[in-house]
Amino acid sequence: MTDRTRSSAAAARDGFAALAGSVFAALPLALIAIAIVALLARAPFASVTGALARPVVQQALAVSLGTTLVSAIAILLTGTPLALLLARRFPGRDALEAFITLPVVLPPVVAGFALLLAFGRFGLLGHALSVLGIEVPFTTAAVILAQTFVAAPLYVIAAKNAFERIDPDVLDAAATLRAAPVYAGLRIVLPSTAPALGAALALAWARALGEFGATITFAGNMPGVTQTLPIAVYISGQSDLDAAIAISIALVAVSLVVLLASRGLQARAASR
Amino acid sequence: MSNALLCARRTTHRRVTRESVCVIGFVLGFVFGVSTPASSAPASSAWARTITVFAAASLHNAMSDIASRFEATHPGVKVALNLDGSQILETQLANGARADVFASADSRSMDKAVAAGLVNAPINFAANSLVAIVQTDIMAVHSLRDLTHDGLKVAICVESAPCGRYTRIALQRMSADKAFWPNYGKQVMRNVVTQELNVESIVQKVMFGDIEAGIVYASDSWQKGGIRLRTYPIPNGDQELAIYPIATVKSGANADLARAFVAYVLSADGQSALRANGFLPRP
Repeated sequence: MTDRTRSSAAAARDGFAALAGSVFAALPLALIAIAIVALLARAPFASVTGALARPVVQQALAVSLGTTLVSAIAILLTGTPLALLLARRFPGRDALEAFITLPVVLPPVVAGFALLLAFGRFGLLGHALSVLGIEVPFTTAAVILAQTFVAAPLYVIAAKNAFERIDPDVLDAAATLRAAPVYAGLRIVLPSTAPALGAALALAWARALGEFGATITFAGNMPGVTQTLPIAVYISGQSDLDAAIAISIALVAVSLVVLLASRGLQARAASR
Repeated sequence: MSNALLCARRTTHRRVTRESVCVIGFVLGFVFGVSTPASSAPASSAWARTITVFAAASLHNAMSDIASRFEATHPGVKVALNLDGSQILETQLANGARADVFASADSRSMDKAVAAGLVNAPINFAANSLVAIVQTDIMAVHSLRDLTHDGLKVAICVESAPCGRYTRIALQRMSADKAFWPNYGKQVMRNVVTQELNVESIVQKVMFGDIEAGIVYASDSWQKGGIRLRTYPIPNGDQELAIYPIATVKSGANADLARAFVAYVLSADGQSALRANGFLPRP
């Protein structure tokens, strides 16, 4: 009897907790939903397609796709060895990981200034580069550098987590069987982590696509050269609100697709 | 302080997450610590009142001078400045930003605000002209004609900003001017590597050193010139002077102070501060 009353009291308590929990859980969801709905509500479909056909938007799309593609390749090639390194235990690893994560939490404008102070004409490396005839700031290369700077940590940390999940026994077995490290890497490490790496790269790519603050500071705004989609949104927001809303909706759609793909790859990685 | 405590009391398990929390906390503390200027410290005394002035970025130095003079003559009053491109300020007002006074760098943004019923009747209070600014160590440029020099990196304002509109008008008129040549404007535009939303960021980028020349208002180069920048005024006949209108904002909570501030800008005191910062007399 007492047991039953106790359990029904507990059930009521659980029910209340679940209700309170779901109310609070709904709040952040509502915040995101209201912003996206507001964006969609402002744009009749015809004006979106019309605005997307404008030369300014097409140019920005070309710049964004080209630069993020190169950034993603750069992140993959340079981030993977770093992630492999971080997957091992060594003194100072946590500090190094925190350092690598810095660009994620830095205000992007600060990142842009830092890049300018590093690669600018009067910057730390700028002088050496200008002797070689290389000028980075306010070029398409600067866009790629800014994107890589802010987005690479997302890939490196996620890839590190994937590498850490590899069973060390399997690697030991491969070593015992005298498999060359390259062979072990290609036949064991890569196949088992590929979906997770793909998910990580998709996330980093989405971040690179949305990059704004570091880009406008370090690369400036020049249609067809450095004006990416987010910068086009900001610039046209001053004069051509239709175009700004149209690009925004396109960015929301693309980002959502990429994030869904990333989740799908993560699910595949988890099921292995 | 609390960040430091949190970090110091770090336990050994779950170290990684705790550490990242510390790092994020410190960075956020730093960011918000430096990025909330006057607004976060409304007033030291309870009876102090703050008026918010939205002013075009080119008014930065002049409005800062006027604001501190106004504060000195009106004890207990604080002036909070929001400086940005006029078109951005107008958008902010239209979207409900709180302000008492709006000072624009062109009539276009002001007319928009008037048409939307955001502000009371505006009055012109200053004029501004365009100059080219060039880094002193750029040897290739000795006059406005050299802005067409091959490979020179030039910054101008975007077309939607008042400074960008005046720049394009000037380049067009210079191309028709006998002192220049028909392709002049096109050749300068070919050297443009970035189009900025306001003059402040052009001056900043030229001072940083990566942009070699820019076209800005005379009021900017006036204050910041000297050591790093040379200025070449664009001939008066080739440009349309920028006329600056000012108005009180209808939704402002300090109507009396807003009117007093506008009157002060128009007074001999306010006008001399504008003149000292490179502005021309109001037309």
